[in-house]
Amino acid sequence: MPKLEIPKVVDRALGDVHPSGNPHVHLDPRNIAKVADVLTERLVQLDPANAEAYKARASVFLDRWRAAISRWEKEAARLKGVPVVVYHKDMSYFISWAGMREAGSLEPKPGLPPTPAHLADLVERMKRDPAKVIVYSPYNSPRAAEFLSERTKIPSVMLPFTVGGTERAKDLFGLFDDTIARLLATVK
Amino acid sequence: MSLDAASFGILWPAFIAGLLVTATHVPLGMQVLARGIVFVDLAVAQIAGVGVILADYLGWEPTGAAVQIAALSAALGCAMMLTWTERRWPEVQEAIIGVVFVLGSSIAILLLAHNPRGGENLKELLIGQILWVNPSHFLIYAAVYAVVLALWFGMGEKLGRIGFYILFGCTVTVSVQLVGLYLVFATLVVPALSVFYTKSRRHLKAYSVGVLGYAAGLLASLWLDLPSGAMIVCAMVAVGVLVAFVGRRASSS
Repeated sequence: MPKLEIPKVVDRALGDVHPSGNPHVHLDPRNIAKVADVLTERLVQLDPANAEAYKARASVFLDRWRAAISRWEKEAARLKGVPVVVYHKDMSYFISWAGMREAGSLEPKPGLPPTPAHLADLVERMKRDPAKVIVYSPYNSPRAAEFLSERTKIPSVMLPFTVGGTERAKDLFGLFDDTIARLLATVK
Repeated sequence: MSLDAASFGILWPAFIAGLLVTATHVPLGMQVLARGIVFVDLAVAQIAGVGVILADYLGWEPTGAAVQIAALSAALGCAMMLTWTERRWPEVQEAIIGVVFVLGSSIAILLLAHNPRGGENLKELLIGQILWVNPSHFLIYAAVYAVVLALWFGMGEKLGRIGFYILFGCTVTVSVQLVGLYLVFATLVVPALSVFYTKSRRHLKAYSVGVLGYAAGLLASLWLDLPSGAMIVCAMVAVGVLVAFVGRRASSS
């Protein structure tokens, strides 16, 4: 699957960058379908006796998944072009799938703690050209999002990021249902 | 980057938070150093953290007053226990404090074993992020610290051992959540340490180390674009070393 943000230069000075590109691929629903395909193939290879069962289950899952994707595409249409501030670059695949625009990140570089100069620059840019929403994951500090939200009056919302991240994100379907619902509720 | 209005807007709340913490920690730190129990804040803060995690474990609202009460009760419980151990086994008090710290850390790890967010909560409690302080909470912090200072300087010797540990427990619980454990430890120990051999105007000199440390650290973190908390610790140590040597030369001449 095509990776996003593959670095041209890999250097620790850039923070926690992954040489093979941004690894948080699961937030583009189309990638989940690709993973299901490859996983089925591999399971069939490892356990040919049960090949039919794996294929049947995969096709049931993929039918449900494709139906869900077309539903999500309709629901997320309103998010197209919406500028968003992230805490860490872990939402890039979702942002790209939904056609949103990443307008900034609270971390100066992936994995590095925020610095005053970077925050001052971000706050100024958001006052001139405000994003519509600030997003963060359950494992990011909500205080960072509150900090920016309070200074710029841009609403912030926690997204599940992965299965189990919120009450509603009980499985992969819930993950995307909840992510889209939370964004739609915040971006009025 | 220079100190323009935008960066000033980022730095001033952090500086006020630093002043608030300095106000209480300098006198407490001098006492902690005199008693030879400098790691007591690590132990008490760690136990307060266990209180927060326990509250989370029991499903209490993370931002509510219940969590503050849990943290404070845990810290005070720990403080009372340390009062008792200091009276009972004074020779090994520092060792007991060390054991309380690792025990607290280990209990925290066990409680967090099944909590996906817990690790981050704990890390934030320890490392903190002084830039996120919310100015609208300053009045509450200032009120708590004012009471602590009034009791500290008002009662003096009459506070006794129990009074000291109770005030210490309350203060550390509040400040750890404000600026994180590294800054709490630095603010407690560095100013007090830098005036340990100084004879005159010790409080004034120690307070200056704290205030200058926060100011220089925040400005340096702006100019060098580096994380503020760690920069403040380094700046405070630099100012402290300077004051310690200038102070010694002045008193020996």
